[in-house]
Order: sequence, then structure tokens, then C-alpha cells
Amino acid sequence: MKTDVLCGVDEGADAVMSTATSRSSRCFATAVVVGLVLCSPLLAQVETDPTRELLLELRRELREIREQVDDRLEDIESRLAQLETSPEPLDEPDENDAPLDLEELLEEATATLSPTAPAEQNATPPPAAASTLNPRISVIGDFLGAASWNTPKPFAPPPLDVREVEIAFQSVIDPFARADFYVSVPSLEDVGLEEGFITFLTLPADLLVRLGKVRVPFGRENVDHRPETFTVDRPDVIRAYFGDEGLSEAGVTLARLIPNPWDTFMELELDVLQGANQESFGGGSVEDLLYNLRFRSYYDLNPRNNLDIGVSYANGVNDVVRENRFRSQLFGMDATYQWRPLRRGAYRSFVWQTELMRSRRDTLDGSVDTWGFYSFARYQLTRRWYVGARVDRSQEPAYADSERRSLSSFVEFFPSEFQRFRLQYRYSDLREGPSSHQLFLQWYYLIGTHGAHRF
Amino acid sequence: MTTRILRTLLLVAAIASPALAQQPLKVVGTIPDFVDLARQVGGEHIEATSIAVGYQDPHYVDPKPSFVVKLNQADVLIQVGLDLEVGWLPPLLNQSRNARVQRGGAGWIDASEGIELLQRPTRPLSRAEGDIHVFGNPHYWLDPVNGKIIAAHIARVFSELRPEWAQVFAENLSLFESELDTALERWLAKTAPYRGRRVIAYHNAWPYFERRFGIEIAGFIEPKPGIPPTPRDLVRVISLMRQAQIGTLIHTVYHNDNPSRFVAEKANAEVITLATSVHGAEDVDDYFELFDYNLDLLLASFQRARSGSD
Repeated sequence: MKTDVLCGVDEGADAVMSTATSRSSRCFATAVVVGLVLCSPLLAQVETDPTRELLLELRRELREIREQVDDRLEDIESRLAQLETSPEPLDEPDENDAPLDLEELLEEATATLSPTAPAEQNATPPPAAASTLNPRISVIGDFLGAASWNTPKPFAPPPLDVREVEIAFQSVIDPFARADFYVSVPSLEDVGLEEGFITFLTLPADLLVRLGKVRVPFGRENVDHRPETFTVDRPDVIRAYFGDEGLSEAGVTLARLIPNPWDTFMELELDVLQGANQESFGGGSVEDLLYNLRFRSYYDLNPRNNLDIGVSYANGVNDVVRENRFRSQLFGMDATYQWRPLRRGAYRSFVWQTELMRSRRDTLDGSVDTWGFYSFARYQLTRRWYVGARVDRSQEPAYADSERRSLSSFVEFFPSEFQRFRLQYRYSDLREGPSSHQLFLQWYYLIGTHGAHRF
Repeated sequence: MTTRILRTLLLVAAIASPALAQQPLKVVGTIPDFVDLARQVGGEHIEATSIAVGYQDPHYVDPKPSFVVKLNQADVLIQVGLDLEVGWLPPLLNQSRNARVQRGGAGWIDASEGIELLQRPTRPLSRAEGDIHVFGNPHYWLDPVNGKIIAAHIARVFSELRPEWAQVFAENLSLFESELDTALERWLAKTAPYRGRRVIAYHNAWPYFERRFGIEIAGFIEPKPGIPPTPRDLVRVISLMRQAQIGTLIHTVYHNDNPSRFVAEKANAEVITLATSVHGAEDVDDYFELFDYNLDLLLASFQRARSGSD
């Protein structure tokens, strides 16, 4: 009603005043109207007795609750003080004198279920929350001390060497893919990419696709990074066919699970790669690709024992002479048996792994067939101690007459899962040459959050 | 024409969908406790398997390829979270080729959601403190009240995936909750006279159990989580037990029990090996029996300690 009156005044004045005056008076009128509208609820509240009473009642109740809470807090504080001063609390409880009320305990149990609990929990984020979207970063150091007797130059490592520093960055990219990068610095020189690939996690048809530089899954051992291999040095056959660093190439890998009625793990993988490996596949031109095919199957013999079997085939160009493309074909078979008791899995385990490889290398003088194998076993004695041995026999891929045999044994100590010492002795002999002896002391350590390894 | 095609498609979908939806949910739990809770909620409408077995250390599980097959076929994955499975679950999930159970997928359950976590670090940590969990202690299923929270979480996800069985899941959950309430009353009544009783534990797996049942863990044999004890650590624990007259030492089934037995002998105490999970001991076949078993062992030890001192 008041508003109507004011508007009426405003309209009457408008007829006789200048435009400027009418605008200012309109502003004034609007301000008054707004002020009244804003104040009206308060006025109404003052005037309406029931609402006011309700408000006062609520205030009274609130005060009472506050007083109760204060009383309880005082009570709890005094109880705490008592507990702190008593030397041996409740050392000899009396069954007849239950210290706490059962009803109270049940109430406490249901209080944990109150919907506020999770919200309170989220109020203070954990310290790591701020960095959860960053990639997991880790650094691995691989220090090697070596002593060699009668060892030809290429096979004798320097006496003291930071053999490799590996820096890993691993993260999920989005709901569909993840990325893993491993930068390696061998002997503190030449920074290189050991692996760097994206994995597509949610493709149809049970496919797993990786793009980038990968350690090629030819057999079992080749996929391991050097600081993480079972022995100080890679098996001779891997070094002969792929070099010290193993076979690591850029390309695309496609792996598919093969459905079967036994629900057994069977996987077929095809890799198309840029062959640049100096030992077996490095002689081609840019357009020459390397193909790798692998089948892997895994069997749980029982919950403690399992067997992993694989076959691999790789085909790529090793040399180009006068338009002739000489190819190398590699065939591989591998078997790994593992035992780990479930109850005391951290204290005892055994692994036995064997790989057999065969190479057919085309050359100007026809094809050269060579072969090699290694067999390795490791037994875990206690939570921190392991012993193991490996036997090797190998040939150089281009020389069918060459032959190297060696025998290694080692002992390992893990102060924790983040560092390891390994002492390894190696005896080897060439078909035409002296026997050699080598002693290694390796120290491996890891900082940061390193992704778990494949099985 | 388009309408006819659409109508036909809808008809086909309507006929096909019940047939598809009637498939039981395939559930994988990282520990057997979650498998049991899933069975309590899902009943006959689920097929559940566990990755770790009950007497295995869930921190250290081999990521075997046979688990890849399980995860590949799973509709739901229930995990402990808080980085407990960080050493083995990520490579399995990476190879599972199954979007349903990847983080954020419809069947992804991190059972720690909604749990009031204990021992959440409030300061920066380093590995100098041992194998610590930066998000809080992960052994939360050892409090039956948390079991209710986990079961409700599972029922919610099951109902979203199979709305036609939502009513069944809700009824099963309600039944489970009332049974657990009854059991909880029994357990609390049993433990009430012993609240505040002090014990020693090998590994820090019991803070939730400790809080719920009012026992007090005065120390650990492990000097730091995951670090095996040295002789000096054993001496420290023995003197603590003698000084505070602690008569019970809680051991975990998957740790070497030689240090615990040595300490108990020197401190005139006894070792009891409690189950940390369902199937962690004989006769522990479900979530209820887990607490029955542990509390029976614990209370029997307390009673023996008392009669010995009388």
C-alpha cells in the first residue's frame, strides 16, 4: 500500500518538473521503495509475535545445547587428565566392573556410519593429494664394481662404473590410455630413451595396443630393464643377438587375449617395429621394418606353482648389398617355472627360467645358422637373501664357428625392497681362447614411486 | 520407414535385454573379505572370486597372468585402495583390457571410500619410516562397522549395474546389516571387560580392530612397517612387555613367527595368530567368523593371562 502512495506522488510531480528533476526524484523514489521492501520482512517479524517467539525458543534451545556440549567437553578433558596421571591404566580389568557402557559403545559404532563422516574425512586432503595428478617419478641407480681376469676387452666392464641411471615417468593420460617413459643414462653418458610408449587400455576385441619405443617381447628376458635383470649381466645369447642393451625398438605392438574354454591366459602379440638393432636387424634402410610375433600362455599348476611358456619369431633386414636385402630370422622358445608359498610368500620363492634361441642370418655366402640358450635358477633363502646360478651357451649370429660357454653364480641381499646388493662370479670360455673369470659387485637402488613390474 | 526400423530395433533390444541382464555379475575382490561381503549382498546373482587368499600378505601378491583373465571378464572389481595393492594391481589392470573395472569405470569399487581412515599422516613422509601408507592405514575391514559401509557401497554399485535386482540387493544388505548389528552387540559385550588391555603386535595391521574393541596395542615387533626386526628390536619389545606386564602377542599369519615366539618366550607371554582376512585360518569362512575367531582367541589369551597371574 505504501508503495502505491509513493508512486502516485512520483507521477504527479512528473507532470510539472523538468526531465532532470523527474529522473532524480524517480531515483529517490526507487531507493525508498527498495529500502522499504528490504526492511518490510524485518518489520513484519517484529510485528508478528508467533515467529518471534519461535526464534527466541530456538535461541534458548541452542544455548542449552551449547551448555550441554561444554559440560561434556569438560567431563572428557577431566577424564583425559586422570588417564594421563594414572601410571598403569586398566592393567587388571575386572569382569564384574565393565569400564564402559555397552549402549554407549553401540552408539559410538553407529555414529561412525553417520553421513557426515566421509565429508569430514575429505575436509583435510592427505599430503600426497596435491601431487596425485603428476606422473609417478622414480630414479634407479645401478652401480657396478667389476674385476676381470683373462677377459677380452669388449667383455670386460670398467672396474668402477655407475652403469646406468634410469629415470621413469609413469601416468594415466585419460580414461583410455596411459604413458610410460624410461630415460636411461648408461655410464653417465649419452642420455637415451630405454622405453617410451602410450598404452591404449580400453580397446574392443581384447586388444592392447602400444605405440612408441618398447623393449621387444622376444622371449622373457629381453623385456626387463638392465638394472632389474635377474643377474648382473644379460644372458650371453641375448647379448650376442641383440647387444648389451637388448632389443628395444620404436613401433606399434598389438596384443590380444585368445579366448579359450579353460579360461587360461593365452596371448598373441604382433609387433611392427623400426629395426635399428646393430647386431641382428640394423643393416636395413629406413623403410625396412622388423616384425615380431609372440605367443605366450600361462598355467597355474596350483596356487603355489605356475608355468609360463612362450614362443617368439622375429624377421628383419640385417644388411643391404647391391639391392639384395639380407634378412635375419630369429626363433625363440622360453619356459619359466615359479614357486612361491602363499602363507610365507615374502620369505621363500624359487624361479627357474630357460630360453632357447636360434638365428638364421642371410649373408653374401649363404645363410648362417647359429643358436644359443641360457638356463637360470634363483632360490630365496630368507626374506632378504637369495642365491642363484645361470648357465649359458651362445654363438655370434654371423659366425657359426664361434662358441661361448659360461657359468655364473650369485648371492643377493635386499636391505629393503628398494635396494639390493648382488655379488656374482662368472666363468666363461670361448672355443678358441683362454678361460676368463669375472667378479661383480652390483648395488641397485630405487627412489620415488616406481610402477610395479610385469610378472 | 525410419520409424519402422527404430521400432524393430527397440523390440529386439527389449527382447534381448532381459536375457543379457540376467547374467550374474562377475565380481573380483582383491581380498576374500570383499568377496564374502559381495556374496552377502549379491547372493545368487553374483559369481565372486578373490585374487589374494585369506592367509596371504595382501601387500605382496604376484601379478599372475591368470588374474588378468579374471579381470578381463569381471563386471566389478572391489579393491582395498590406499595403495595397499599398488605393487601388483596396476599391471594386472593395465593388461585386463576391460574398461568396466578401470579407475572410474562403472564396476570400479574402491572400498575405502566413505571409511573414516586412521593413521593418516599429517606431515610429509619419507621411506626412512619404513613401508608406510601415505593415505592412511589400509586394514580398515577389520572393524565390523566398516564392513557395513563397504557392503552398502557394494550394494549401490550392484544396483546401478543390475537395476532389476536392486530390490534383492537392498533386502540382502538390510539383512546383513541387522545380523552384523546383533553380532556387534555380542562382540562388544564380550570384549567390554577387557577394554584397555594392552597387547603387542608383530605388524601394524590392527588399528581399526583396536579402536572398535578397545584393546591397546602398546608396541610392534617390526621397528617400522615392513622392516624385519633386528635383535635389538626384539630386546626393546621384551623389556617393554616385562615392564608393562603384557601377556599377549598378536601375530599375523603371513609373517615369520620366529621373532614373535622368541619374544613371547622371553617375556613370559603367549603368541596368538589372528586372521587378518576371511579364510585366514581354518573355520574362518565368512566375515562374521573372522571376528568370532579373532575375539575368541584374544579373550581366551586374556583369561589365561589373568588365571596365571592369580
